[in-house]
Amino acid sequence: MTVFKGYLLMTRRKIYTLAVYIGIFIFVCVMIQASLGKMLPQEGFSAYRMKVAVIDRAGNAVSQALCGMIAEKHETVDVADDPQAIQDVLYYRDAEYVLILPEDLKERFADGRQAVERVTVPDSTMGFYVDQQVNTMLNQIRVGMAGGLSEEEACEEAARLAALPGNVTLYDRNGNAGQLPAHNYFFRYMPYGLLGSVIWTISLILMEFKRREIQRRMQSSAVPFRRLNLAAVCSFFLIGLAIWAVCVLAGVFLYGRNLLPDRNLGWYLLNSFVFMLVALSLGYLCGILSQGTAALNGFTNVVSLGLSFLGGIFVPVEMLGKVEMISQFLPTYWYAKINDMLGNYQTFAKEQLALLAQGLGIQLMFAAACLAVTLAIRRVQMQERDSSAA
Amino acid sequence: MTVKAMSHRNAAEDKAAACRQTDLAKLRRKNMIHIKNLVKRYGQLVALDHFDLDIPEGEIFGLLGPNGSGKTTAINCLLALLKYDKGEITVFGQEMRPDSYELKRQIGIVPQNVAVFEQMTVYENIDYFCGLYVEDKAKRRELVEEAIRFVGLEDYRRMMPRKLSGGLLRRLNIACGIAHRPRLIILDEPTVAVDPQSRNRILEGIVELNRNGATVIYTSHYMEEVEQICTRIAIMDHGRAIASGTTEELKQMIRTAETVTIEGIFVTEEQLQAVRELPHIFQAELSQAHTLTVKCTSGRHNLIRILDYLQGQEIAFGRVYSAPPTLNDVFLEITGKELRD
Repeated sequence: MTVFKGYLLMTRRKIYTLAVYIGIFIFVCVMIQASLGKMLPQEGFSAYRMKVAVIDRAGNAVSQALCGMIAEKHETVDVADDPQAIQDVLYYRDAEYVLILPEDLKERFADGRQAVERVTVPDSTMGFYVDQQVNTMLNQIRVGMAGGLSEEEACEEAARLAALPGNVTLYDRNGNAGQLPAHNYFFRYMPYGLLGSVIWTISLILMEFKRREIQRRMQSSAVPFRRLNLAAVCSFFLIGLAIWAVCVLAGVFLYGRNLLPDRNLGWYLLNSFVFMLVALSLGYLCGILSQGTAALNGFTNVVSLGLSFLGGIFVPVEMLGKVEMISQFLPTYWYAKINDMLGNYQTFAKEQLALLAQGLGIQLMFAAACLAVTLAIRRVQMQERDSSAA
Repeated sequence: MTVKAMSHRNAAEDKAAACRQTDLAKLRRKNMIHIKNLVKRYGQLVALDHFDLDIPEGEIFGLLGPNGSGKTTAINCLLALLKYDKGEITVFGQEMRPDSYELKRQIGIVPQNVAVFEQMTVYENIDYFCGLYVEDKAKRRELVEEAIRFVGLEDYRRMMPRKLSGGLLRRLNIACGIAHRPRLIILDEPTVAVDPQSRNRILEGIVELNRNGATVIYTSHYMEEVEQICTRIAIMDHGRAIASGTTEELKQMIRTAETVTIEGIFVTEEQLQAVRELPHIFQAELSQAHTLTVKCTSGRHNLIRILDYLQGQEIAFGRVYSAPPTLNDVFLEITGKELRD
C-alpha cells in the first residue's frame, strides 16, 4: 500500500497543474463546439434565401407577380439597370442572382419562349433554385390563363400558390433532427484532453520514480518487484480513471440535458474509457522515454496534438486525403470513427456493431502494443543501467 | 628554523579508537557478510575480479578505494541488484538472491546521491521509505519520529527537500535508509559534497548507529573519514580487495612507519644521497618546490637523526613535519598510486 499511496500522493501534489490541463481542454472543447454551433443551422429546416436583384423592364402584371414572389422568398437587392452595375453586384457578391424581366416579357411568355433572362455568379448551383421558382410561377400563370382566368387573376392565383408553405419532414436517424448533438463534439475532442492530462501526469510521476538512486532504494527494499509494479499499474489506472471521470462529469455538467437521455451514452462512455487506457499506455511510454520536464512537455504536445490531427480529432480524416492511410493505424482514428457513428445513429445494424467492436478492439490492441514496447524499452534501459553501474 | 611535529590523531581520538577496539572484541562473533570469489564483468571490463570479503557483525566496515575501483558494484551485487558472473554471497548466513526479501528487510541502504522524492515532505519521504519495510502504521510512525530525531530534522519535517541545504538533504537521505532500524546499514559515500559541519554530524551519527547495534558498511574514497570511524577496512583497487584489516594492521603491512617532510630546503645531490643512507631511511625525494620527503621504516629518533645531519651540513630549512603513515601511504605502497588519482 505504501508504494500505491506514494503514487497517489505525488499526483495530489500535481493537482493544480493537472486541473489547469483539464480546464484548458474543456475550454477548448466548449469553444470549438460553440463556434461550430454558430456555423450550423440550429433548427430542423429553413428555406434557403438568396440575394437576388430584379430588373423589371416589363412593368406588367406578370412581372409584378414575379417580383412579389422573389421578394417573398429571397432577399432582394437594388441594382441599376446597367451592365456595369450588374457586373459590380455580382463581382462583390452583393447579389448571387440577377433576374431581368424584359420589356417583351408578355410576348415571349405568350409564345412559350424563354420569358426571363438571368445573370448569376459562375457555377452557381443555387441559381437553379430561383430558375425553378420562376418557371413554376410562369407555368401556373399560363395554366390559369388557359383555364379562363384573366391575366391579373391568374397572377394572383399563382402568387397565392407560391406563398403556400412546403411541408418538410427531415430524416432523423440520430434523434437530433439530423444534427450532431453538442455532446458529440465534446466527446470528439476528449482524446486531446485525455492524452495531454494523462501523459503529462503519469510521465511526471514516473520521472521521479525512475531516478536511478530511487530505483536502487526501492529494489533493495523488502517489497517484491512484482508488487512494486502492481502498485504502479493500479495507481496509474486509478489516476487515469479519475481524469476520465472528471472529463465525463464536465460533459454531463455542460451538456447533461442532451447527453444523459442519449441512447448512446453507454457507448460514449465505453469509447472514451477505452481511449483512456490508450492514453495511459502512451503516458507510460513517454514517462520512460522522457529525461526531463522540457522533454516531457515536448513529448506531451507532440503526441497529443500529433495523434489528434492525424487521427481526425480536430479535422475530419476525409479532409486529410492520403493521410487517412496512416491514420487507420492510430487509435484516435478509430475513436473518432466510433464517435461519428454515435453522433449519427441511434440504433445500430449488425455490421455497425461489428465496426464499433472493431474500433474498440483496435484501440485496446494499440494500448497493449504500446505497453509491450514500453516494457521492452524499460528492460533495455535497466540493462544499460546495469552496464553503466561500475 | 621552525620545527613542528604534527600527529593525525589527538589523544581523544586515540581513546575513542581504543574503546571501539574493545567493543569490537565483544561484538566480533560471526560473519554477517561473506563474499567469496565474486566476479562481475561489464562486457570486456572486469568490475569485480575474484573479490573476497568477510564482515563480522558489529563492525563499521570501510570499503576504501578510488572511483571506479568496484565499491558500488560490490554493494549492488551484495544487495542482489546486479547479477554477477561468478562467486557466492551470503548475508546473515543465508544466500542473497533478488527475492531474499526477508534478508532485505534487515538491510538499510543510503545511496551515494540523495534519493528522496522532490514532491514529498521530509516526514513523507522517511515514512514512504520506512513503509517499504514496516507495514504497521503505528509502529512506522514511531520509527519515523525516531529517525527524524536521530538526524536532527525535527524542525524541517514539513519542508520539501528542495528547501533543505545540502547537509540537511544528506541527513534526510540517511534517515530514509535507517528509519526501519536495519541490522545492516550500507552507506555509499554519504558525505560527498557535504560541508565539514554536516560531515562531522553524519560521521558521529554513523558511530552512534553502530553503538546501537547495527553493522555498518561504509564506502568512501575519503581515507580520513574511513580512518576516523571504521573498525575494519578493506582497500579495493581494480575490483579486488588488495588489503584488509584494522587501520593499525593495514599500516603495519607497509614499510613506511614515519614520513618526515621538510619545507624550503636546498640540498645537493650528494647531500640528498647522504640522507638516503641514514639508518631506517628507505626513500628521500626532493620536489621542484624544494620540499624534501623522507620515508622511514620503524625505528627511533629518525627525525632527530635527519635534523642532526642537516645541521651538521649547515643546511637551512623551513617547517618540518613528522607524520605516521596514512591509508593513502598504504594504498600508495601497495598499488604504486595515490588513492585520489
